[in-house]
Amino acid sequence: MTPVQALQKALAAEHAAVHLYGLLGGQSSKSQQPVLFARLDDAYEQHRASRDRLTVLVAARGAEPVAAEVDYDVPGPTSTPAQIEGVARTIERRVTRTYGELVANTAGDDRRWAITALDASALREVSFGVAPSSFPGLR
Amino acid sequence: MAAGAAVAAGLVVTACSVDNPIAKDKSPQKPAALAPDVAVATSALAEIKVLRAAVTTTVSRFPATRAQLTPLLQLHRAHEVSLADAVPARAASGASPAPVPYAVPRKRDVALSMLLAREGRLHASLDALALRAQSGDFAQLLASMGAGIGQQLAVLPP
Repeated sequence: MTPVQALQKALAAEHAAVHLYGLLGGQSSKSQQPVLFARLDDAYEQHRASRDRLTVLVAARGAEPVAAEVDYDVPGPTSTPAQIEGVARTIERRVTRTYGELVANTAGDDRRWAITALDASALREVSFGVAPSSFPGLR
Repeated sequence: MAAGAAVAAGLVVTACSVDNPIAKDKSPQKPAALAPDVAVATSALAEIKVLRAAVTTTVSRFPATRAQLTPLLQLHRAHEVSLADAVPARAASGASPAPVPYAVPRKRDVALSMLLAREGRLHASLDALALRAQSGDFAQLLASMGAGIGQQLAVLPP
């Protein structure tokens, strides 16, 4: 995988995360689940920032940044707060793995940013209830 | 753990098959220059071992912290195993000076704070080593280890 391909893959993952967190935010209640709502909102903002950064990084290499899809499959039901957290865990596991690949396929400043993004997504995983792993993003 | 060990084992094979200065250098006066990623692995392993010793010493001094700190010990052991195959025995045992014994503060809260600060520094150090690594897969392994420490610190019970 070339660095640009790895960046595009991470960008695609962030497009999906932004879309899905927007949906999860709409499914949760700020008044009834304030902690969950705040976590979802925080995750949404972080993913938006990462998406924007990746768009810049891809464009800086002369490539056309991959566009968001019209819709994304939601990886699970979202009727209850527990289900919403479950979907958030799935999103973050996917993003963490993608950032692990980005670390492996970049160097220099791009890898530095990927490492920071990997750390952030690993922390979001546990904030939604994923058990800590010895090697997040590696498998 | 298997994936990490496989990455590290690949590192050794690469280092040995391309050019292993350790195998060629027979002079005891002249330290062998380690292949770049073997040197990175050696540094990472040494830092992890030092910190595991610090955690172990802290648990011995304050047995009530055992449940709290055991996940960190298990994490460091897993990371050591994944790196052990990448570090030549000579580099692991003789290249660095014997570690200074860890002095545990007398107060439990201070001891825990100091230990967690060191864990944070190890996380930063693993991230820095990941940046230095020439092998992408090895960089991913090191960055993953750092992220694992970050996760463990985030859920550490008070």
